[in-house]
Amino acid sequence: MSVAAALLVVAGHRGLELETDIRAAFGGSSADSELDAWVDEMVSASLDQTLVLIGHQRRDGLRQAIQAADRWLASQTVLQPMQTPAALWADPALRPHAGHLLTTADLEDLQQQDADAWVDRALRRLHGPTGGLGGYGVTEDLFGTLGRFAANRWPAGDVDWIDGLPVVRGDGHDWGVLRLRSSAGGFGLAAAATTVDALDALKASIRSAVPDVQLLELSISRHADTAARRSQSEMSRIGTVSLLAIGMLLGGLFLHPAPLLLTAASVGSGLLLGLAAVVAVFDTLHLIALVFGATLIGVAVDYAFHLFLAQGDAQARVRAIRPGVTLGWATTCIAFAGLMLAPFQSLQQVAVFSVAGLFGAYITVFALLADWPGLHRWQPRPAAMRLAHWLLASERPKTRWGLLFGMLAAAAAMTGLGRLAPNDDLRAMYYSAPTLLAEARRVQALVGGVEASQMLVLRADDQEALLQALEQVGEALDRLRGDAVVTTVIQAGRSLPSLRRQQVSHAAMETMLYAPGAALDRLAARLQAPSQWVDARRAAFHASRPLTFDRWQALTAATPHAGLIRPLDQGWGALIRLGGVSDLPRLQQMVTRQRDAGLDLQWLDTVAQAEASLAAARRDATRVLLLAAMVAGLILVVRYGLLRAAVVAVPPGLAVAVTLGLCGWAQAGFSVFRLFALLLVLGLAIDYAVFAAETVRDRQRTLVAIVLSMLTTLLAFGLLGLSATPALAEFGATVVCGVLVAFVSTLGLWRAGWLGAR
Amino acid sequence: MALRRVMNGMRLLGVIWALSGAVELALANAAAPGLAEVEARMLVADALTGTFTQRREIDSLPFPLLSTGRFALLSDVGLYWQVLSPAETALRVRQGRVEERAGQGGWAPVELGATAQRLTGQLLTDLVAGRFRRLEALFDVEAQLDEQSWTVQLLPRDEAVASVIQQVNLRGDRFVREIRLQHASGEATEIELTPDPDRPLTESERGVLVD
Repeated sequence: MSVAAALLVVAGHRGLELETDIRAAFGGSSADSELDAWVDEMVSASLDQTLVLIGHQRRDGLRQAIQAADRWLASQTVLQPMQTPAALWADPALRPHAGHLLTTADLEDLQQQDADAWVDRALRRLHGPTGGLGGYGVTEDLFGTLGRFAANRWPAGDVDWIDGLPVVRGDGHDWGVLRLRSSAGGFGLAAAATTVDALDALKASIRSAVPDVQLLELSISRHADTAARRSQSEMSRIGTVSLLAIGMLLGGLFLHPAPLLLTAASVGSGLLLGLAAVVAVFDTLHLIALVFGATLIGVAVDYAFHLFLAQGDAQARVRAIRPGVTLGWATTCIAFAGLMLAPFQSLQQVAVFSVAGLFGAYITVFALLADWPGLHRWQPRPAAMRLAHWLLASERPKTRWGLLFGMLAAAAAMTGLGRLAPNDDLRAMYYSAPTLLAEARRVQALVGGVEASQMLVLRADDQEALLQALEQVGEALDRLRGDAVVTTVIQAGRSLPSLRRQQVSHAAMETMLYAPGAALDRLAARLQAPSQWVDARRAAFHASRPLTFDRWQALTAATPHAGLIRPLDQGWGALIRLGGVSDLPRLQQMVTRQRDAGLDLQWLDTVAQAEASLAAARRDATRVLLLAAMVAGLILVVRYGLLRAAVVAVPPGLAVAVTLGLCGWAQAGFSVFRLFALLLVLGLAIDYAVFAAETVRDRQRTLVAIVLSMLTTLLAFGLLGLSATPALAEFGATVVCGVLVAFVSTLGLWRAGWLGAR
Repeated sequence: MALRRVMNGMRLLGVIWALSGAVELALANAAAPGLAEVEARMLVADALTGTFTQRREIDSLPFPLLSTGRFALLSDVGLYWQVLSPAETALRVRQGRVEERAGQGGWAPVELGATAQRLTGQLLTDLVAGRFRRLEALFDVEAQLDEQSWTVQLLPRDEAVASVIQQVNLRGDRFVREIRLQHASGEATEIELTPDPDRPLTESERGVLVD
């Protein structure tokens, strides 16, 4: 144990990191780590955003509320407002590039219409009342092409501003859309709590200034914080109840606190050794390994219980329980060690953690607890022995009928196996407060926007090839948007045309608008404008220079296009953010067509990717465990012979099969959480059957130990079934069902005389 | 008896609540100083027709650009703006959408972007109709009156609007007579309106707005 403690101290000094990202736990499938990092960065930036919608029926009320928010935001550092593209109509920075920037529609018109049509357009603009409202003046944008390009850069949407804040309309209110980024940093629960506290203070400040304001919020931090608080509160309540109940159970049975403390010590030493083993073998520790590894070590309570309930002095006790405990320990270890073969480091860590931990508990029981002074003084209360006697004593024929009936019921339950469906929906595993979900839906309906996890990834050899490819994909996406397959597309190609496109635009403008005798000259003739005016317009056009990537980066730093194009180790990449995808197959068809046309375009859904990794982990772990169970079965065959080993294997087999069958009937999916719960059930069920099979004398004492193990397991894990967090509830319900089936089947076989010692 | 007292108390609370709501509403409807008088002087009509002369001043041109035409305003429906000289073009604003037509061609949206479309449409219609109160969301409105006429000045409240329009000045009596838009680009548009309250909308004008 001191070695284990030393290892942990060394790990602490080494700065061992706890990995909490579930995608990292289950592999992260793509080999292109640079692209992954970029996607993660963009997704994190989206998730890191908090939206606060400030609503009021009147504009003056809304303005007051926005000003109150501004004042509060200026007084603190946790929440920082994100800039929005204020220059919606006319960005002055685009003026030097006016002769190279055209919308697709204008380019087509230039290629199809004659010069006189463009003269008419310019005259309409000059003589109509809207001419000066396009953003750019006539002098700098004579034909209105730059104004149209500037207006077409952003996704379609109708917003205006109050004090620099975009305002949308809906539900009878005007809503100021406040986009905030938290400086609390990271996805940790402490960071989420800091962000939530700041959000609450912001909302209180707005409400105190404008009491009838309506506030809506969409914040991942709020969801995480609410879920964490709920889980922590439940865990604390459930933990307290189960600890008290276990304490009363063991205290009431032995009338002494030592068995409880020593059992905790054996499990604790197992945890210490398990953790030390993982730290020694791996560079990082996955949270999932820590949680499930620690849970699986719970099997070790059995070893201490059997020691305390055995009869005689230390040597006699050890002699009586060692074969059963050793066999149970060995088979359980083999089952858990099977996870080493899984291709995910997190599962390998679970294997190392649980096997080392069980070894630690096993050694503690036989090396430390067996020699504990006063061991012989702790005797179970006679009532427990009478209960065990009553449970075991009955007429065999009746027992066998009961056993047959039980088997039939189990077989009926197992027919649900055919209805069992996998469940890898990550979102369904977390607790989400219904009020928060409803609020999130309302915010999304008002603001729209892109889905953080869904995007298209486009790659090309160089920047120019990428921009040309973006234009090709952009046209296809515009068609899909027209067909309502997708509602929002944010892609940088709309604000940064390729050099080829800019040159084509420039040439088209030159030919149709600025060449001698073209639209400019004809317009000047109609206006009777002096030649200097014409020369100045022509000179300004020729002074235009293409918009470069570097310049574009500076211009778009505070816009939705920021960071959507970048150089990669090999070539260049672009992300195309999408929102409101209603027909995924059609979108994927478009991707396939573009790929067939030679573009390196792929559809990416990071949540789906994580779920696929989770599904792969679940499948691999299931296969590996089946293999491990067969090896454990072989050990039983060696020990008991084929027939008796088959009987010993019935309780663990039934516990797993019946639980899964009931899940099938209840339409509760098979998730990775259920799998880990079944691992715990498997370990305990093997123990029950093996202890029953190994008991020659003192059947009642063995049964009391088994009942004690079952009850403590139900109290420790079964109460989780009451949790509002789906993952915890699933774990708890599975343990309850599995352990009960394991116990009842063990008892039934035992009473029928099929499990008795040779 | 006790129940009746409770009910009476509830009724009293209801009255107080309703009164406080009315006060709040009255405060909300309080317009910029003088604006109420301007509005009181103006003729309220469901429909208005007239003619206009537009003068556009562009720095780089040594002369202003002049255009004339007719307008037809149908309250709560939209505005039809028909340029007759120097070239025949037309523009209509309906439901926040601004569309234009060249010659006898079809209507096509003026490509300004969704927000600019709506704001431009609202601005044009409300300026011609003299509905300044509706513009208070976007502009600080200041009104001045003398015996015969009034002037109103609109200054953008927000940077985004100010990036397009620096200032709007209006002059009028029973109608809006003159609108001067000072654009952020340095250009200016001056529109003189000559309302003809006795001329109803023609079928063709009504058709353009209502079809």
